[in-house]
Amino acid sequence: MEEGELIKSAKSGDKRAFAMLFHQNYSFLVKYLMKVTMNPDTAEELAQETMARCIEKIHLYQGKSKFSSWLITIATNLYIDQQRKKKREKNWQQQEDLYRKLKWQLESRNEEWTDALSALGKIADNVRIPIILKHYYGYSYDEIGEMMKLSSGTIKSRVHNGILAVRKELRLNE
Amino acid sequence: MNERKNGMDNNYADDASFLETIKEIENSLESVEQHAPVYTPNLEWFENIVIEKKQQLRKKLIFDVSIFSIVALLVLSAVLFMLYNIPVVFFALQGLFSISIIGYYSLRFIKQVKET
Repeated sequence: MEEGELIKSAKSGDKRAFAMLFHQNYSFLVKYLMKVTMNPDTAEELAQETMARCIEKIHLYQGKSKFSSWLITIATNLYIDQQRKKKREKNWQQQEDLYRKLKWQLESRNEEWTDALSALGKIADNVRIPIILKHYYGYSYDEIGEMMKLSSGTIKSRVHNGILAVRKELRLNE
Repeated sequence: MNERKNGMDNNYADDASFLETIKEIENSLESVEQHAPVYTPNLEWFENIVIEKKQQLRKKLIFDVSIFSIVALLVLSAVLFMLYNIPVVFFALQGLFSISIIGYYSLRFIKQVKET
C-alpha cells in the first residue's frame, strides 16, 4: 500500500495502517532524533512520544509536506518543549555525558567521533536543530521556520552563527 | 589598494573555511546516519502502541465529557433552584452580570479610543 493510502486509512482509524506508517518511518525518525539530541536513548523515547502525538493529531495532517517531514516537525517541537521544561544548564561536561553513548556506539563500529560532532554537541539545541535541518536534510530556511515556528530570518542567523561557533571550536581543537 | 585586496583575500579565506566547516558537519552527520545502530521493531509492536494510545485517548475523552457534564448539571441545578426558590437573587444576579459585561466592554472601548 502506498503512503497516501496508508495515511487515508490511518485517518479513518485503521490501526494496521498507522503501524505500517510508523514501521516505514521509524528508522528515519530515530536517526534524525539521534543527530538532534546526540543521545540514542533520548532519541528512542522521543520517537515513541512523536508516534503517540501523531496518532492524536493525524486529523491535522493535510498532506502539504511529506509524512516524514511532518513527523520530524512534531519530534522537533516535542524536543524543544522538553528541553524548555527541564531548563537544564548548558554545561559542557553535562553535554559531553549526553553524547557519550552515541560516541561509544560509533567508535565500537570503528567510526571516528569527529571534532565537528563534539562541536555540534556543544552548541545550543535551538541552533543545532536548524543546522541539521538545513545542511543535512536540505530544508529551506522558510520550511525550517515553519517547523520551528520562527521567522526564516531568525533561522538564517542561527544557522550562520552556529556554523561560526562550530568553526571556532574546530580551530581551537587544531 | 593593497589593504582592500588583503581584505578581499581574507573574505575568500573566510568563505572557504565556512564552506569547509559545513562540509565537515555534513560528513560527521552522515557518519551518524550510516553507523549509529537503529533497531526497527516489528509491525506488531507498532500496532500495540497504536492500540494503547487509542485506548488512552478514549479514556481521556470519557473523563473530559463526564467532568463537563457534571459541572454543567451543577450549574444548571443552581440556576433553576434560584429561579424557582429565590427569584429575587436570580434576577439580581442576571442584572449584575449584564451590567458587568456592558461595563467591561465599554471600558475596553474607551481605553482603545484613548490609545489611538
